[in-house]
Amino acid sequence: MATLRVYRGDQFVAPFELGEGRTRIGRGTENQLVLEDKDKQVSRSHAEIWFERGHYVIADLNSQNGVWIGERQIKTEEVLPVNIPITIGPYRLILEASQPTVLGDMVDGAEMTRESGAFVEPTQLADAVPIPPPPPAARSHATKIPAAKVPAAKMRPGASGKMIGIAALIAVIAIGAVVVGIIKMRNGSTPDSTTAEVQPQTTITTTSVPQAPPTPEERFLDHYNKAVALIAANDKPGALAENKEALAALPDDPRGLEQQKTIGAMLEPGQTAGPPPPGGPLPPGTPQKPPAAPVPEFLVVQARPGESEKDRLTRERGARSQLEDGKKAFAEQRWDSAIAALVAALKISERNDYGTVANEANQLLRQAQKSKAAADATVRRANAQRVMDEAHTIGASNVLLAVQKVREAQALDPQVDNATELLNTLIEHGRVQGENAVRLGRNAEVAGKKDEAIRDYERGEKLLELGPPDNKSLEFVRQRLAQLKPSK
Amino acid sequence: MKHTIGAFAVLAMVSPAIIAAQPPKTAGTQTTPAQGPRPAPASSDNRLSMAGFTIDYPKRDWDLFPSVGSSVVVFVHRSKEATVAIEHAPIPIALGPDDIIDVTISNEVSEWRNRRPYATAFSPQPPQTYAGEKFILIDLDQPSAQGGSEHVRLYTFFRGTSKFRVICTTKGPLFKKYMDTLHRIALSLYTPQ
Repeated sequence: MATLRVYRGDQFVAPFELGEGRTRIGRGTENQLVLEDKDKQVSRSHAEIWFERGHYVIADLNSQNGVWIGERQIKTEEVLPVNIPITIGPYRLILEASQPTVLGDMVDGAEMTRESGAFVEPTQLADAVPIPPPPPAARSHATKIPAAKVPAAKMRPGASGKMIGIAALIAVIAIGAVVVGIIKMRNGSTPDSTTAEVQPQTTITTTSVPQAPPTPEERFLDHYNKAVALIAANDKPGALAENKEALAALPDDPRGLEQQKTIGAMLEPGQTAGPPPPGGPLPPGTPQKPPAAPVPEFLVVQARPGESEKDRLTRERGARSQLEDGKKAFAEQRWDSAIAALVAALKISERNDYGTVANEANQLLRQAQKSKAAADATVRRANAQRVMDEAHTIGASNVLLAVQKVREAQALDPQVDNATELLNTLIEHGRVQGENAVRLGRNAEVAGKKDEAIRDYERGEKLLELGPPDNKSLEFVRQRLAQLKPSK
Repeated sequence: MKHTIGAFAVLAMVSPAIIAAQPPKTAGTQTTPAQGPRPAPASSDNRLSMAGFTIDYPKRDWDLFPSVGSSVVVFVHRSKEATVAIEHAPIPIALGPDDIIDVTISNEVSEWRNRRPYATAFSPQPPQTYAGEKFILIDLDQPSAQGGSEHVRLYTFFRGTSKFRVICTTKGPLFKKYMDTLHRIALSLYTPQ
């Protein structure tokens, strides 16, 4: 059996013991795990978890907002990974590596032993694990365990001493009594005083679980993960202190030693923040607890004068959401979206150093702007080359349009290849064609064809204007047009 | 064999036209350039000086008639077989040598077609050059008022903002007889700077 730790945002809410049966999760009260959510980001029946072939499997029950494993949305069903946050609306569920539960282990152990033909000593059962009071959810699952399995271990005491056998018998009877009590409760029997609060489901707002004293590994992970969060928040002294505590629990643990190096490499407070720290949460599969740290320093949004806490929190969430959107867009190279989201994050947060680490949003914004500029330049270069190709194609037949195209290409990309050469060639073509047009205009004028003359002169003027202004033909044509046009 | 006879027949039909259309050889003619110093006329010629131009014509057998129709002056051979008429018209702009192009010729042909709607066999030559000047030369045939046909050789000169036409007309079959004389008269047209 395993525990699902339920967080809302960064706030730990409750643990939930998973059984071997199906656990339905959702906003509706009919679910085994009820995630209350006024904003309805959690669907009424959102997801389901069950145990199959040695793994827990999670399925999205066609929910509105989906089930996310890390940054990825699951399609239908997937194996529930250990220590990777599952996001359901505002909740994060983290499957912890299995902690042996008395009942499950005892039953499983008994069954296995029975199958192998050996006897389980009552002392072995009693000594296996100190028995903590089972959590409500665990008790609820326990009702599904076949009752016959328990006596199976109980009725085969073996050849050990009588006292040991009696002790084992008492222990098993005690467990049996608990199981019977739960069965009664689920069948609607009047619960006794010890089970009065037990519900057949877990609602995260009401459930609480008694905790066993933490093991050195747990203490290590607790401090280690706090240190991870503080590294992310660029709090070097805090991270150093937490990591020290972690190493105090497990002095030679390589994870702690490695993280100590990472912290050592961090910038001192007040220094300009560099890239995000190289250290991070432990890789998937490594037992760890999720960071339960408060909102990291640079993600905190300060209240405006007279602003309610609710409004401040709304802004804080909004800024964070924009930051996440911006980072996602940045990773996907959607520069416009990244810039818009990061600008929004900075604006909403009203702090220049906003981010998971100091200045993260600003730095990402600058990078996104630079990348966008580079991407735009690439597009402009390609467009400029395309326009140049068009200019080449039409150059012989339409000098004026070709020159226009070359200038358009130069405007798009001043460095576009061969523009100057082509422009000079076209200008020379324009001069020759312009002189011809003027010649035609002269002939038309001499022949008394005034309209034709004006047309030719105008064309000549445009072509000659491509070249230097001190062209005698250009002067002539302008003078002729000035004379012909008013009298036209 | 048939091919040879056919070829001769075609040549016989075409050759008069070719001969008629040939531009005159200017090298051997005693004419003066249009621009530059004006030498004295040949001893056999008279020089007519009018407003804006001078022109030389043979002393013998040619009579002069001023202001006939659109012409400034007309020279008529006493046999009435050939005439030379000079026309002068102002133009709005001067055309330089480079401006005398195919379009100039086609404009001239087109104008002449309008003036002589019954004229046929228009045969414009490529722009001609004499003493550094370009001019236009067009041959055509037209019906004669006395019956039969006339051959016309039209010289067009662009001098500054003036256009001069020298219109040489002969009775159709007699063009070759007068061709050199007419050519000499036309090219003697002189306009002072």
